[in-house]
Amino acid sequence: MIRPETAQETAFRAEVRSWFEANLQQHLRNLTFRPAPKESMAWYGALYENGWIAPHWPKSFGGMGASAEEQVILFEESARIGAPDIPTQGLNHIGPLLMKLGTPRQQAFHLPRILSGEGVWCQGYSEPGSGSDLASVQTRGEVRGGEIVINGQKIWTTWGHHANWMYALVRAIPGEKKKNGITFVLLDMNTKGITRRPIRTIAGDDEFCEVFFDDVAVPLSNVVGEVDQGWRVATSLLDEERIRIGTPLLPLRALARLRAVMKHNGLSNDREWQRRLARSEIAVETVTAAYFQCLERFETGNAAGGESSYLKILATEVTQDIVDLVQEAAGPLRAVKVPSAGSDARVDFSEMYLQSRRLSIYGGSNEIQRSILAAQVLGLQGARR
Amino acid sequence: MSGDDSMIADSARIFLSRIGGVARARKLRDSGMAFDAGAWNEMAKLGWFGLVVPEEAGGLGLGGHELVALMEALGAQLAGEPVGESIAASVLLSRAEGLSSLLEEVIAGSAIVASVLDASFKLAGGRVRGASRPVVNLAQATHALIEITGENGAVYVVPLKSAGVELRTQATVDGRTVSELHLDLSSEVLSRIEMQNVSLALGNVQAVARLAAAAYLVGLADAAFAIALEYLKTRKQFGVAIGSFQALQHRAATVFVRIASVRALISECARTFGTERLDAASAAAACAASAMALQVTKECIQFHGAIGFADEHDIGLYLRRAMSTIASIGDAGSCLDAFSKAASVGTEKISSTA
Repeated sequence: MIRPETAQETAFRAEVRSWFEANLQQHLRNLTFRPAPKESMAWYGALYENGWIAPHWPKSFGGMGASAEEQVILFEESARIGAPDIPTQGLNHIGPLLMKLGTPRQQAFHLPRILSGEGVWCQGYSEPGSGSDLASVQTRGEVRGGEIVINGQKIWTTWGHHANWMYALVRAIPGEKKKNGITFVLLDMNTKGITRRPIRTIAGDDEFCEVFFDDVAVPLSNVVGEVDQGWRVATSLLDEERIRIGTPLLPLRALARLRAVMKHNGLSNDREWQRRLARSEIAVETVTAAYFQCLERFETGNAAGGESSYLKILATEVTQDIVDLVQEAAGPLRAVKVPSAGSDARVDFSEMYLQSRRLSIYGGSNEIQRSILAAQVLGLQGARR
Repeated sequence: MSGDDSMIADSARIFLSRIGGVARARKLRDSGMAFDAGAWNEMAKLGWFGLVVPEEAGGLGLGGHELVALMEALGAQLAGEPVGESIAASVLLSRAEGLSSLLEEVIAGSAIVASVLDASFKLAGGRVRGASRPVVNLAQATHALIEITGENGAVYVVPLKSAGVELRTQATVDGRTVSELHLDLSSEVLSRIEMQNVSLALGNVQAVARLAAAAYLVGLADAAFAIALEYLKTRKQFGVAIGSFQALQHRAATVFVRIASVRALISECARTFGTERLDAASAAAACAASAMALQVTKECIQFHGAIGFADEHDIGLYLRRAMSTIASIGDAGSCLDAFSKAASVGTEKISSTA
């Protein structure tokens, strides 16, 4: 970060760096963008044990209560050492949502499990017929006595086959359109009637899956907010969620890969490549600056509605720009899937490039974010397509 | 913004509107004058040239955030006077020995000191010879700060009215000028600057100039976008406002992202004012703001269609002023090199570059 560090922050950075060096085993460093659950959760557990798993959670819910600067220091040091990516649906999405809207019982049950990694979450939003038009979800959730009975299908569910909990949007009356009549529900993925089918991505992993519901009965106590009021629940934390997608972590990781490929291909001392690297570093500093500013504006209540969309667009597109350079630096190796052995450090030529296609699609495509900015921030009305 | 910076921004905006705003920039360009002496004197009375000079040295004693606020306001109304250059030079003059009277003149607006650092001047046999690369706004300067390299290397002030000083001046597309400085004169005309670590101080002059120009470009881009946004909301085609078309909405959103993110970067840069990090931060700010300002002002012309290409419309003034402002802070390559160099050395290393 460009922001000058206080002595306390410098000490925190040193502590993080040496703890990472001591506790992140070599075989877990510089893994692919989305490591296997075993590797990912091993690091998750280590961070939990050390109290660093939830920097942005308040201390009252077991988080670290870290400042924005401390969060960025953690991102920078994670990218620097090549720490594995960890699942974030619990930490960044359902956890904060339950803090705000969950019942005391839901909070007491789920929040500690999210922190420990015992509860691994996936998001049941998208359906075959509902992508960008999320309010059109048709999965049925019918109230019968003390239960809500779910039938239908979710798709593109990231880590759906590894998760043991899902938060989902379902609808009481099928065919009903739009935002009324949606219920926000928490599902134990081991409930009878749930079938999961992994879907392979263009990067070659089983990253997401389809989830089918056949008379899946969930207690009404698992509804967040009121039945039929789920749209309000789902959108109540959209800004916060987009800020979490827009952190500098992904661009920092891309930068680390660019440096590694430049080094591998002997470009580190090439002046033109040094300039490209500098341009990328400046772009990442821009993301960090925007991240600080967004957090501060939301904390002080000065943010315009929809403003967080800008951070999502920025962070994901800066990442994609940097991995474009990774490809260019890779040269004739650009299409290599897994580099052959020979060097001790793992060098990625193509993996993050392919993985990064999803960044501008998930969490509301960047086109949707641009429409939100245009309507809510710029006041351009009446979208004509 | 909070406190002093918003006060500076407000008073600058009101003052610049009062003296004619963007229409003044157009009038100056048309007259080929490029510089409004009356306005310059009023700016001096507002204390702008001593903005970051300590109060005990006759300045306002303010810092990076106020500098950014002032420069954004100047950019928004396309004020072309060398305010950033004067403020940058004041940083060095306020620390040097024996230059307090020149500093006073700079603060009063009666002297304008240009920093001519991209140059090779040599001292041999009692004479100083050499030439600089083209410097924007040099024609308005009364003095130049130069560095003589090689044996007896040092930093000097050159009075530009002296014999043996030649400016080779060309007009820019926005009514400013750009001049090469050619020197062939006795070294006795020059005053040597006595200070510790003069090359560090020179680096600081350049850093302040870069931060100032970057902030100017953000103000300029933001003002251009405000005009374009208004146009998108009022111009009708096919019976509706063109801003209702998704193709234009998405481009407008991209422009918003570019301006907002670079503004955030510059605000971070302002925090480094007075620290060793300013070198790297200001180089980053200059690179990012230059690329952003060109992209934004070109898009704003495109949003206007044919009228955007017409000189009679103000929107084209913003692109042209962006061009000369970028020319004042050096090419992209040298800014990138400066960033790499400054970010990766010293105790104030920037962590993301490690």
